[in-house]
Amino acid sequence: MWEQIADAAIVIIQPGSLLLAFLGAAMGTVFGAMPGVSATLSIALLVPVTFEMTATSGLIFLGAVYCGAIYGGSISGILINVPGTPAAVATMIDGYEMTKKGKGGLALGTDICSSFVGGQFSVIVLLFLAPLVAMVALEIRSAEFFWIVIFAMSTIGAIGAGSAIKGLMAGIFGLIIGTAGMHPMTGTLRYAFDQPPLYEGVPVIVALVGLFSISQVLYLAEGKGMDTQLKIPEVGRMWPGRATLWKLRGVLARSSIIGTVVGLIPGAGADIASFIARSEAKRYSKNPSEYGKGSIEGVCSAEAANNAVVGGSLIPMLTLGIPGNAVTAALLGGLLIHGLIPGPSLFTDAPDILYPFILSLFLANLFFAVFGFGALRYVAKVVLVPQGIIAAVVTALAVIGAYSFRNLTFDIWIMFSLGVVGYIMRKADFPLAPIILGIILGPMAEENLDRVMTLAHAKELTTIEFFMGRWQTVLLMVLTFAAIGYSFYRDYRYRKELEAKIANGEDVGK
Amino acid sequence: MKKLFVTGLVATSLLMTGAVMAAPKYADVKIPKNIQAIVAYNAGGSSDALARVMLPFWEKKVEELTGKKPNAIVVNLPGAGGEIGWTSLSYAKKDGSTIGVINLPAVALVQAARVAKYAPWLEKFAPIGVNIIDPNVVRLQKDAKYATLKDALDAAKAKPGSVTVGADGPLSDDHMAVYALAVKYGAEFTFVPYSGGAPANKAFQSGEVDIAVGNVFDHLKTKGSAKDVMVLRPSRYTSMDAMKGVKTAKESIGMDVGDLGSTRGWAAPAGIPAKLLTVYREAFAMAVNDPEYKKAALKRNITIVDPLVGDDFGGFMKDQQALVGDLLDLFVKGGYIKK
Repeated sequence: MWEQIADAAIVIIQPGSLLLAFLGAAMGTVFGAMPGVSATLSIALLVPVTFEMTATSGLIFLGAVYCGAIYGGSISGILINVPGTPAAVATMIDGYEMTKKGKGGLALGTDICSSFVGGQFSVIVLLFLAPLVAMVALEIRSAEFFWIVIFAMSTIGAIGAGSAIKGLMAGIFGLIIGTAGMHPMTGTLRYAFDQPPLYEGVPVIVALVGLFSISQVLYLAEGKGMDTQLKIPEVGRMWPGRATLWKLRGVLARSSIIGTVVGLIPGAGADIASFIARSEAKRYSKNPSEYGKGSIEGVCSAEAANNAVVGGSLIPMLTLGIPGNAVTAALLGGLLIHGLIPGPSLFTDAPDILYPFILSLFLANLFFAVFGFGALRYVAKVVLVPQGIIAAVVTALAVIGAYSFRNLTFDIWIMFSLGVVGYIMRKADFPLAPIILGIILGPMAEENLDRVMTLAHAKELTTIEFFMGRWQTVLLMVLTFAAIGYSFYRDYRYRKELEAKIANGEDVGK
Repeated sequence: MKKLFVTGLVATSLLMTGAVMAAPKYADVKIPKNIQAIVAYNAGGSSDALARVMLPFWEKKVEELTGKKPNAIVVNLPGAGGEIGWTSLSYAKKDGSTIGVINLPAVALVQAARVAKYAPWLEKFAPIGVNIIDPNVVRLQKDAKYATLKDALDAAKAKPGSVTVGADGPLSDDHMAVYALAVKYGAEFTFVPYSGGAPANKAFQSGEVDIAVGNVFDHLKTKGSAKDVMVLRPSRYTSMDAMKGVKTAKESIGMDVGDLGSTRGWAAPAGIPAKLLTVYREAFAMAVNDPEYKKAALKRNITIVDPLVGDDFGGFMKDQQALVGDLLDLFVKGGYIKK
């Protein structure tokens, strides 16, 4: 492994790799800073840019975009109280308060430092944990894989902050789309309507671009436009100083760990991680009353956590091919177009691509920090770009992206149709990420279950007997049922609390 | 002096193809300025690699033959198991401005599985040539309860369906090899398809299946997990050192199963001018015999064999179609093809 890391280090210090990592981090930051352009959308729109690159270059670029976009989302949140990405909502609460008090510079500086620390921590974990997970995963058989997929699906209801039922309904919609095309085991065509472009199903990347970009464009288009009176406030000095950072060390460490662990769990993403980290930081804080009124710890915890999600979330995606959230689903699309099929064998088949990719994330974190400190003055301008312009640019990029995936105009129509569906679903408060996970996970579950049934038949066992035949499978079944049970329990407890509050006449909001 | 050198070079390469000619031999043939080469799979795949490695050599040889250098570009049209790309190739203008890679037996299998728009493929594609065959390799899992492949096959004969065979599939060259082997030996396997070579290899390594069928590189990647290996060729595959020690089916199970594997050949839409087709074929033959090409191909792990040019490739195409016809009943019985 050390040898592979050393080889990879040589690859990433090439000027070309450095340039790509810098461009990726900078573009990610700028895209992320634009209100309405999430990290998922940034990657979905920039995947086509990598078509002509080598796999290594393409991944270095996309990885850097991921890191940059998660950081960049906080800039507009802190400056104008509009989150660039959902992951920045928790940062915004205290960040904007600080800006109002004239401490915007301090907020932005802390933001960069925390993102940097959280990001680097998670990449270290990724670098050392992923190969281990991959090694274990090599022993995984279809039966276990089926249960891992079911486990990932069981968390779908928890994605996003909205209603669990709506999350599940969106997931089921994804499962239905995922059944289109050839059956993974028999090749039988389903819902293909005699259209060859549908024979292999709806391409994930096209669905992603449609659901996230076109729905966002429609959303932006209906807006009354941004407040033109909005001005970027004077931010002043950004470097928080060594003493301040030293005081934040506990918060940084805790939040980085929380972010990485949350990233590992399928279904949870940067938005959830940042809220958990913020409330944990508040619990341990000496002055919790500061939170919500411009607490530097609030900014620090949320930002360290959401950037720490990056490394954590890449572990299940790279080692098992299971994306835990929409951003990694977009990255998964990026891997697939370069002929890389994520899974445990990727670490033995393509270490020459994977290790440079992982190491390049260190660079990406460094570059967005440098870019942040150096160019924030200019980046700040993009948060005021009129929404009409963003909508137009996103539409153009989306059309190019959908078309260039397979050079098929048919895909543009798939994209637009799903975009309109996505828009309607968003209007009705349905989360979109579960749709993508359904499209990806559905065929995986089906394929593995079918295989288990075939294997069981050959051994003259029933499917249940086959599942019970290996302790690894039994363990995963137990874990899956436990996770489902826990989420029911949590839902039940949450409802009880809510009822108690209503009974007490408290305001519970929406 | 330089001219002399070029002529010498051309003559040498022509000598190697077995025909001595003066250059440029086809100065009167009008070559399209731009030629697109359709690949029915994604950029970065093995078919794409073949096209990108081969075309620069082919361009040069066309120039040597006609005095004009075309500009050949790869166009990736993936989707529907290759059907989209092959359909585009079959409907392309018949003026020589489009050629493409056809993958066998995939072209024949897709046509058998559904009403492909390029059917009947034997009449739609004019063969240029082929020099790639990635032979099928059969591997026995080291923890399987059978000592040798022969034992496993005997077990599958005695108790049909009791031996599991994993491979990329369905409707892949590996899938076809499983059936060809079963029919020849009179055995019946439980075929377990995986969505690609890598997942099939992983399953083989984890011990999920007794036997795995793949190609040369699948074997090289999973060497440690196999206790018995055979290659489905009449003779050993010697183009690659690592494969020289692998027994043939005849040596291993005492029965020749034929020449099975995945092939990536070049074709043009049928009906292109005969002279143009001749130029393309000759340029292909010269390109694949260029030692520089061989070096470049081996470097990219392209498994090369002696080339079949023109009608020889056409004969091979017909054989592949016939083999699919022979095995059709098994595909139908397995539920992979509807009658």
